[in-house]
Amino acid sequence: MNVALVIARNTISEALRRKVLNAFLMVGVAVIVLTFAFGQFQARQDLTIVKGMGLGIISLAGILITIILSINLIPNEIERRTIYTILSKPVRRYEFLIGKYLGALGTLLLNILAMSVFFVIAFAIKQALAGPENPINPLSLFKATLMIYMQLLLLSSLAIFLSVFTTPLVNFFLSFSLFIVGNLSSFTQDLAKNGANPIVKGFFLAVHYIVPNFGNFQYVNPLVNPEVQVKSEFLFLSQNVIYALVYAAVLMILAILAFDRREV
Amino acid sequence: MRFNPSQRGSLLAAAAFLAICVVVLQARIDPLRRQPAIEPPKLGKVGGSLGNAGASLPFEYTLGALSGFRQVIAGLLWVRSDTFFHSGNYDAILPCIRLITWLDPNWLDPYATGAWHMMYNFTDTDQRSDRRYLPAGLALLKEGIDNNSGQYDMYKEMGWNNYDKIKNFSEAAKYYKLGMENDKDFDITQIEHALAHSYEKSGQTELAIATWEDAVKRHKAIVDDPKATPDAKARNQQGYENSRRNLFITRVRQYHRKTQTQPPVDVQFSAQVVRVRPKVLEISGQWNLIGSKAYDPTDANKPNEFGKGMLSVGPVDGARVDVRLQDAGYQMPAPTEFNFDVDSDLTIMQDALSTRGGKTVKAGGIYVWRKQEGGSLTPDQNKAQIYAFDPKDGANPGIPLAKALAGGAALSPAGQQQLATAAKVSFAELRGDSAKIADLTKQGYSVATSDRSILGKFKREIDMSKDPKMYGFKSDKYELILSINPASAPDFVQDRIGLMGEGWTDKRFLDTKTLPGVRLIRQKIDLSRTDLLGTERKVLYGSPAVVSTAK
Repeated sequence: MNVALVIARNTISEALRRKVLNAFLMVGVAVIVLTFAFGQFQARQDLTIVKGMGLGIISLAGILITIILSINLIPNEIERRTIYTILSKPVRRYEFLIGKYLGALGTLLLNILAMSVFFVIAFAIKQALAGPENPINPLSLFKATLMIYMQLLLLSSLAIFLSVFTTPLVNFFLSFSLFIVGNLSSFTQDLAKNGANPIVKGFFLAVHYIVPNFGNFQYVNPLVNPEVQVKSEFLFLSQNVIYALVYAAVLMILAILAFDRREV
Repeated sequence: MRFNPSQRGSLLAAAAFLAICVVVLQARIDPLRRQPAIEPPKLGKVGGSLGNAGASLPFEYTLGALSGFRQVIAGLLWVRSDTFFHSGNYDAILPCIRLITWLDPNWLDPYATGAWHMMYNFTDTDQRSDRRYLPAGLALLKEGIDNNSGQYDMYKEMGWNNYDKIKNFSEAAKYYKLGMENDKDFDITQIEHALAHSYEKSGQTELAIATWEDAVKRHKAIVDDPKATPDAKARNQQGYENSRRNLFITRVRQYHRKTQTQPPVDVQFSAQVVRVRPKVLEISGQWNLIGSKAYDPTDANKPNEFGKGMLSVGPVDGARVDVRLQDAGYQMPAPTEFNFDVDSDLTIMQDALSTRGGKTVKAGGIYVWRKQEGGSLTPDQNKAQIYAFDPKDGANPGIPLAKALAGGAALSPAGQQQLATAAKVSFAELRGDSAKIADLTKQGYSVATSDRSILGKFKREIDMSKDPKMYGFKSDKYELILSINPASAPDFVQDRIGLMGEGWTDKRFLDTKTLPGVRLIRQKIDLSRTDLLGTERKVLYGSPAVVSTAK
């Protein structure tokens, strides 16, 4: 497993050197700053907009970083032929794949953490200046960023799994499409419930349970509207964390199996 | 090194097992995720086309909503709907509201504002509400309650709309009570005060008193709480004083109305309906609208002294006759799911006509004679129950004051009291003051030589021809309902006729069945489509002699 960790560390170093990812991070931070200029947005409480916008930007920037990072991890190694050097050493294929995945997760963690910490501090200052009637604990925003991270963890495993047998371009659109479908899982669930045709019902039911349910991780509403009461919040959050980890494990096992048979 | 078949099999088995775990986990997450606090209700249950909003909703809104900017997109749509409001494009607002409440179901303003639009702002040219939207407005508020059941705000909105617009006071009380029960941090003034008013208007005076007592205690507790903020203390001090005063007034009314609303007044309601031209009706009539002219001042600091209650009674202005024209047999449906597509074939018109001009004088009493209609009476004249008559009311019912005091007519004891009250001097002093008598005579003061009473009148031309979208007249049969609800009458009228109409009666139009426990004055007139669309002027109901229809 040490081998995987070494590969992970290298992957993080390499990813942090990539300008495109840093650009996304910088854009994310810049837009968060811009969000705080929404003081004149009187239609909705200023802080509400700041929370919704800030968390949305972290999510969006995270999605782009995840997809662009993950779809290129394996193909880049193959294209540059560095994979031959690595695999000729006492490195098993699954260790290589797991190392790459852990590297992606580490990179994402650093990015999301950077944006989150920046956002939470900025929000705390903004809230202190605004002096709202019912202030929230700024640290509670980390619940949403945790969910965003778990969503990206799952998305990354999906993109890596697909990258084993698709080109980066195809993988980009495939991952993005599956991400959107996975975000619409409420609709597919409703269609499965309300559909009259048993074949249609079965299809949407299968979609609901098989496609990664990225919509599970939307946890912005209770933070934007702190007056709402979430039932079983801890259970909801912890089950989502487990869901992301288990589903990612499934995808990584399948990726390992596919990569194991692939001629490189 | 690659996996051998056995290892591959083990890994596949592990993946299959974990995949089953994923399905089980998803099944456990679904019910938690579908709570309104986390995820909006399903779009599938939304009724009504998205109309202009759907067409004008740019792709970036949709994309934004999908990518985690739900609340932000809702905020942008809110700005857009505000633009629609200011440009008069009301039809486009409702789809926006629909989308906003779907994207951000815990944002309360759009529910309240959307319902306000539907209940009040969709009107015809003469500002009469389009009542076809009322079920949709109530359904939107119901959805707001379902999505925010732990907060009092939506119950308050539902209560207020039932109280003010629908005039269903018991339903209003139900929602205010739910607001109190479901949110322990409810606003006492907004919820409990309104609950007490609703109880009173629905005839549950004992409950109203108990609610005021509770409100007094709650306000006092906050005022006395050392931890309460100065702002909260100030607000609750005001609330405390208001609720104490209202508690006392309610008790006084309860005490006096038992006796002072008897014997029942004969309302003598009559009406006439004239078709002026197609879709234009002139509705006029008269009835004996009387109420309290002076009330013994009450003092909340002396809670056991109820004073004398009504000091004088007489014709008053102010109560309204409700007029409703609708497709025969229409009943407003119960609010179910929000759907803003109204039935374009349905016709409902509702208006309220104020009653004015009732007056009376007894032989030997004082009145003011005016050569032409118009002018208002002074507070002193009102206090003395003096009414003004003019040629429109018929011949002068008496003679000028100076002439009467010179021996032309005798003043009754009541007339002498009226004169003393209005002139602010005793009758004996006045008799010796010829200048004052001349001045009062110049002002029109006169002494009645016979009894004269004029009933309060109502009259309005209702033009439905200017709004064909609202009044389609597609049905063959209609019903025109004229009604007076005592619960909606002003307090000074209820002081005499009672809260539920126990102090009035009518030989022809007293209705005790439509609203259980309420003695309505109600007249239903069946009309046909031809009656409403005919071109010639025609009296559709009533006698032309009741009220002159001349303009």
